[in-house]
Amino acid sequence: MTKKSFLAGWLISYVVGIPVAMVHELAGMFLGIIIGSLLAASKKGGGAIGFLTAPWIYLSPYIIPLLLNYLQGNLQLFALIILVAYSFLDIFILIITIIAIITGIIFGYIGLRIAKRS
Amino acid sequence: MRSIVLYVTLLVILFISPITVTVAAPAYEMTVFSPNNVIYDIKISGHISAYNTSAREYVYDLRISINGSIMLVSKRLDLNHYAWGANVSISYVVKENNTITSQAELQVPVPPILAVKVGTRKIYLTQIILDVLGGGLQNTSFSEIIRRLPYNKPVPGFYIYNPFYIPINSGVGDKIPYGVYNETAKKGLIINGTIAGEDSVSVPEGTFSAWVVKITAQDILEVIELINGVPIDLPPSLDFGVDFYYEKRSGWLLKVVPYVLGSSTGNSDLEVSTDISGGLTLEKSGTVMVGGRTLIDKIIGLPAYTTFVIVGVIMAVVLVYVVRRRY
Repeated sequence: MTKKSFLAGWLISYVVGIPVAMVHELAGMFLGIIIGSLLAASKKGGGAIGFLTAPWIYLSPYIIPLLLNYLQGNLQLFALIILVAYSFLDIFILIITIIAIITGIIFGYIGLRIAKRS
Repeated sequence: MRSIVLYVTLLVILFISPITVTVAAPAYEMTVFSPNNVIYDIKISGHISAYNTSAREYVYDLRISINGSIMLVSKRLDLNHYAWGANVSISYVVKENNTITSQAELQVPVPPILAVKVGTRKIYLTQIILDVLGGGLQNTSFSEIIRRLPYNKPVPGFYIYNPFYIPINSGVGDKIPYGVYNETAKKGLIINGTIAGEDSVSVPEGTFSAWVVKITAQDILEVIELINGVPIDLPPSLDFGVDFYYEKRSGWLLKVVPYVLGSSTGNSDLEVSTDISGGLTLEKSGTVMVGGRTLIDKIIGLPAYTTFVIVGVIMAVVLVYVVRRRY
C-alpha cells in the first residue's frame, strides 16, 4: 500500500459509489468501498476508506439534490439545514459505517493478497 | 491454484454484494421508494359563482388560486422502509366579489417521518407522528423531538396507499387503490381508481408514455355512501373526479388533474356554478428513474443508463489494474 493507492482508492470509491447510490444507496456504498479498498490494498487503508466514504456515499442521494436546490435558489437555507441536519441524526448511519469499515478491511486485505501474490 | 480461488471469490462477492442489498419486489421500479429532488408544480384555480336568474346579476363570486411546489425527500429508515419527507411551498389568494379577502405564502420543511415500505404502496406512520398526534409530545420541546428522530421507527397496523407510484406490470382495467387501511380492525377507506388507458404526457423533463388512472364521481360517491349509509343523489349536470398519469416504465406519477364542473339551479332562481381546474405536474423527477435516466444522467444531460456504463467501465479498469499490479 502507498499513499497514492490510498488516495486513488478514496477517490474511486466516490466515483463508483455515488452514481450507483443514486439508484440504491446501500449497493452504491458497498460497491464504492469494495472497489476503493481493493485499490488501496491494505487493511488500514480499506478500513479508513470505509469510515470516510460510507456516510457520504450513503447519504449522497439525499444531500446532493438538496444542495443543488439550495444553489438554484429553490430551497431556503433554514429548510436546507433542517433537512440535512436530520439526515445525520440516524442510528442506522452508525451501524452501516461500522459494517463499511469491516468491509473495507476485508477487501483491503484481499487487495493486498492479490498484489503480493507470487 | 490459490490465486484462481481468490479471483473467483472476489468476483462472486463483487456480483453478489450489490444483488443481496438491492432486493425489491419485482413489480416496482426500485427508485420509486427513495425519491429525492422530486419536484411537483401545484397550480389549482377554483371558481364558484351564484347568479340570480330573475335579477340577471351575479350575487356572489368566489375565486381561489393556489400556486406552489412540493419537493419530496427520502432516506432509508431501516432495511424494509424509507422515510419520506417534503418541502412544501404554497401561496394562495382568495377573492370574493373581486376583492382579495385572504392571501398568504408559506414554506414548510417536513423532515422524513413517514415510513414507506419497500416493495409495496404502503405508507406507515412512525412513532414520532403518533406521539405528536396522541399529545405525548405536546409539552416537550422541538429539541426533544429532534433527539428522538434517530430512533424513529415505523408503526405497523395502519397504512396509507402511496399515490406517487403504481406497479410497473399494471395494465388497462387494473384497479389502483387510494386511501387508508386499518390492518388491526381490517377496515379501510379505499377509493379504487381504474387504469382507463394510456396517453402521451408532456412534462418539463420530456414527453412520456403514461397510464391514465381515473377516479370518477361514482367511485368517490360509493365510499361516501359507505360511510354515511345513505345514497347520495347529485345533480346530473355536476361532474367531478381525478385523473392520475403514471409513467409506464417507472410507474411514477407525472400529473394529477382534479376536476369539478357543473351548475345547479335547484328549486330557486339562483344558479350556482362551480369550476375547478389545474393540478399537480412533475417538474423534476430527481433520483426517480423516469424514462430510465438517473439523477446524474439528468444533471449532465446524458441518455438513459449512461452512468451505469461509465461506472462499469471504471470498475473493470480498476479490477484489471488490481489483478495485474505487483508489490
